[in-house]
Amino acid sequence: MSSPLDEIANGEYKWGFVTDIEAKTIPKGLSEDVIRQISALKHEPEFMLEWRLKAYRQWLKMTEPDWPNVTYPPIDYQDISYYSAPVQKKPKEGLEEVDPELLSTFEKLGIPLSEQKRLAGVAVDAVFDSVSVATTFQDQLAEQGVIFCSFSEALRNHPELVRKYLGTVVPSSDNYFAALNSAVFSDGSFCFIPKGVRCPMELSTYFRINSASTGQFERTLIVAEEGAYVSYLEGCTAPMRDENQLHAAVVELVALDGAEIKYSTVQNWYPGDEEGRGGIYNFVTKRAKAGANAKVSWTQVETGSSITWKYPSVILQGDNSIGEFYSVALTNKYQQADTGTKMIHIGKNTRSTIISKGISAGRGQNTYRGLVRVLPKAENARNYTQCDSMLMGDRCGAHTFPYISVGNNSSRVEHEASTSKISEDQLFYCRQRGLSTEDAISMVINGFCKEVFRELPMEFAVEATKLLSVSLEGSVG
Amino acid sequence: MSAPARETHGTAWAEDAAAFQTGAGRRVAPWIADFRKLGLDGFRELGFPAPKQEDWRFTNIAPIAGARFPFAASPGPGVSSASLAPFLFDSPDWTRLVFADGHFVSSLSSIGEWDGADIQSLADIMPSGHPVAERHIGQCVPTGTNGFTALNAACLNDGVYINVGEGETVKKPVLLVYLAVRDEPFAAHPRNLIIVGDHAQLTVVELFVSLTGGAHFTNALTEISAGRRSVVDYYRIQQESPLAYHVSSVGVRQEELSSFSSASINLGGALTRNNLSVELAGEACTTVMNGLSIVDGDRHVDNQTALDHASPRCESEELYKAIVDDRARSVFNGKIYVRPGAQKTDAKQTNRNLLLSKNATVDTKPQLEIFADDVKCTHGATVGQLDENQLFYLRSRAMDEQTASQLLTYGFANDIIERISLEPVRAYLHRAQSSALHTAAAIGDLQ
Amino acid sequence: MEPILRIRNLHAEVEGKEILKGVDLIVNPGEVHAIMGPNGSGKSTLAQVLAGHPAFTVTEGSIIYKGQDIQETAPEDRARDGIFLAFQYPIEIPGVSNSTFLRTGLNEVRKRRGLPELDAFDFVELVKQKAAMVQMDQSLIDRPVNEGFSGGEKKRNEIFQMAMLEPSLGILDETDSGLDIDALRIVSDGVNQLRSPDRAFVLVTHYQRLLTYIVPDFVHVLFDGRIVKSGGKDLALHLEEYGYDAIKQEADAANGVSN
Repeated sequence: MSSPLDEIANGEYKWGFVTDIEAKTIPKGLSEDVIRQISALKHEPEFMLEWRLKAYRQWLKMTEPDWPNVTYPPIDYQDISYYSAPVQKKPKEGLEEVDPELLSTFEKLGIPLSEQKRLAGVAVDAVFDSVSVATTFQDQLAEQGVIFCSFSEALRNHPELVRKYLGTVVPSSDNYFAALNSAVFSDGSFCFIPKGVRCPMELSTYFRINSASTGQFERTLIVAEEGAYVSYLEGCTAPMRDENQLHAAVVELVALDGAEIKYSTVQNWYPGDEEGRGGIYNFVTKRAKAGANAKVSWTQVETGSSITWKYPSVILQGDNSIGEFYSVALTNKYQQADTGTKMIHIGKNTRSTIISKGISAGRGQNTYRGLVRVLPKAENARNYTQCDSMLMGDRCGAHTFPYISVGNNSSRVEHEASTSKISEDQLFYCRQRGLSTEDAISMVINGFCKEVFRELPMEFAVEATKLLSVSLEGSVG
Repeated sequence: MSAPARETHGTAWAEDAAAFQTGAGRRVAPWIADFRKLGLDGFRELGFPAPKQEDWRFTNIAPIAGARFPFAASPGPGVSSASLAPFLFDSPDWTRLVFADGHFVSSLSSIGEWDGADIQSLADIMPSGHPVAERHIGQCVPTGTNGFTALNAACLNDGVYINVGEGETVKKPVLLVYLAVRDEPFAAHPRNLIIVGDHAQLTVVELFVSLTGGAHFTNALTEISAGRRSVVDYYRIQQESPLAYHVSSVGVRQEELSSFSSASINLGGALTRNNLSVELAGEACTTVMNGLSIVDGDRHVDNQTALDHASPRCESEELYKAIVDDRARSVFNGKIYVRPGAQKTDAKQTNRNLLLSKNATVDTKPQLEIFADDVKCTHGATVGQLDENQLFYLRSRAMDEQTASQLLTYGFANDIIERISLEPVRAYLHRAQSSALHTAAAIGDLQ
Repeated sequence: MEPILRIRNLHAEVEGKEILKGVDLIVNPGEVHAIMGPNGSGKSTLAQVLAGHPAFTVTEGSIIYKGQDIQETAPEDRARDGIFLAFQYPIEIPGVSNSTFLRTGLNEVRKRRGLPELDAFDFVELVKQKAAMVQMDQSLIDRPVNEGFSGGEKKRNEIFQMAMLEPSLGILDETDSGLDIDALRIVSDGVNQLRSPDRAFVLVTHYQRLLTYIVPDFVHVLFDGRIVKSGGKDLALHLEEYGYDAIKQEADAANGVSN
């Protein structure tokens, strides 16, 4: 009889179906012409094309980072298609006119978009490969002055806003993948919450990769003006394929003075199979800039992708600003994750909290990498970091690389880390008391992740709990 | 460090080392000549570490690479037992080996009767073949680790050879004093080879001091091989001049059930970089690593420790502290590896930093890499100022704020010193830390 | 007779939150006052404010100690003038021995009283004598302050320190919490030996238990930042029997809150 922990790697990916829909996909390869073509397909203003080309030229001069604690074969950037969009019978005028095949795909993923079925209290922007197919509740939001639309739509209808904020948090030359994204990004979401407005519902984007050999390069920009509040959720899935697919997104958050942005992610890209074949390379740059008295909170549950490379960060620029990072990262099978955060304390009395929970199972390798930097002028800055790892089985790894740099003696920085495990003994004990192994594992894991889950909006917390259980399913003998 | 990035490859240093090898005074056996050559080849290939290398990001060694510290051909003038007296821990009966500017000075040393170990200056074993030393040299600190270890091998000139026989207990501590005597700049590359047999016991104290306030460069290297069930205590005190550059590489290999305990105390030097790596090669070893740095002015101290849990059931506990004042900077990078199969590992690492001034900086990176599941590993790092509750507690017991902060700062450092088991070393360090912290005499005297 | 302590309409807050909302209390020499109350009523805050903890801000009212307003007085000066706080959670100070800690404090107190500093020999003698009062193990004296002490040892150490410093006003903050019966008796005996006509005590406690060992002259109930009831030692017994709920209701009624 094989032990429960031995079989942890056999969880089944339930979102791995392919939608059979005609798509317009441009040929593989990357060049200035391709970028012009993408820009033209999206009817973009001239400044956008210039911006893309500048980023592309910078990207050509850059090299792929080699410091992350992950290994993968070299990526052939000419073997990727940079744009793929489902062909819809006619240009969509409203939700009703979205291809029913697409609607049913999202419905199958648990994201009903149609008027009758859509989730109450959550506005959704649904992105399928390179384009946004639908955004719900736009009218209701507009009444409050809130703009929530696809990036392409934002470029058409609010070019001045995009131009004002794009690249102000993550410059196009920030890093290799951010530069690539800046050159070729296809769609994504745009949110704008005007001064003093508390966004009346959760905003959410659901990303779906469908086509083979396509990369997904979405770009999200959220601007909360002075005193505004928004809670934003992001989810993602992809079909099961044997080859790896690249996802290089950029997310920029601008929280002006007194604003609050809560950004939650449940990342469930296809992680690859038991042998480590296939899966998404999730190379993402997420960063926020916080003005005086602003608050930015990142919460992420990372269960998918074969490789995850991301560090949602907060630049605490304004006095009294607050940055938070709550993360659960699970690596199973042959998954690798190198994830964490950067908290850059610039303003006075800035505070940051980092809670990171890494779970390693199968042959997964899980790395927390974080930077807490307190600049000399950041009087009274405070940081607290807690970084826990859980190991399940003896073939996985858990790694912690916190960088702490303090240049101000009125500040206080604390970092703590620990490891724990789910042992056969624990499981046996639970089972002897009548729990199934699944329940026992799920109970221990949920206890371990509690501090992060409670930061998630309710629906997401339930979703995340289920996801973790499913990701570890089959672990059970 | 804001020194301009000058040459990091160290061509001039390689030339000096080559000149040393061809011109060195005493005849050496082929194994030494070969080892030196290996070092020189290694150094030519590696050069000095560059700041873009992860382990050297926070410590720019350009001031060393770009300077010229000639090899001191002989001990500097005027060193006497009177100048040595303050550094003997009031323990004249200990075995001691004294080095001046990198050369063994037999007239100041005292190697008593056989106390369970073969103890000699390394220079003394270099003229002829020595199978044991030959087998061990370069094992615990591989010559190609970095430019400094290669350079140390290239300039191999003197140091200590200690071989403790199986089952022997060396009752008296062995004190190694490295005096910087001459005023003009010079380099010394002392190397110690310490072999502790199965079931054997040894205590070693290394003390680095400058008799003048001049600039010099110490590139010290110590290899310790701890046999099965052996017990090794290793203390290292660095009190060189405020203009001195000090780089050390200490490598320890522990066999089954051995116990290694260390303290690294850094009170001097303009730029100090310590590398301590311990490999837990055998099962069920115990390792203690303590460190204390007190830095002020524009000084810089960097402690890098690597603890390799390569075998099951080992326990390690590491506590490094730094007190950083003025414009000084303290760097800590502690790595703990738990290899696949090293089950039941129990590793605890803590780094605490006290920032006393607005312009002081701390960079710390406690790092865990774990490949086994049945382990207990924790690490913690703090950077901050004195604890407000402790301050209040002291004030509520009638101490004024200044006395209270001095006492707490003293206690912060003393916590490390009290973990040292040799009373004379503790007494010496109480005095040394009071003067390093400019603590009111009253507080130091109370201890 | 001049009271040792006179608290008038004391308001105090921490991080902008008001905890004490008008406390009045008079303590005369020789008296023992017990401050009781449910969790969160402000008992420990009152103790900390009297000792001058910098985290608390007095926003209104006054604390007159031996005729002087001490609101601006530093914690160490209060200690030198004879205010002693036995901490609810005694602080650990690694690297500083108990004896160094105490000798530094004691000599400061003696200086204020116009007494010469104690030399090492006399200090050790005094330690021996006072440690015996609370049956404290001599070996604890040379250990770092409170580090690795059990809960009981920490509390004994507080009373031992009080015996060493011989204050005029001893404030005991939940000294009984975490003590078993034997330790409680020892600690209480220590306090009782220190009772004298010119010394007063304020005992902050949640339970009546401590008060069977150290019998108070007055019992006050603190609720929501105010003393809502005062009485003799029987009040404590009453509380033990009926709990704080009745008091809460009375207080609410007095404030015009209806359920």
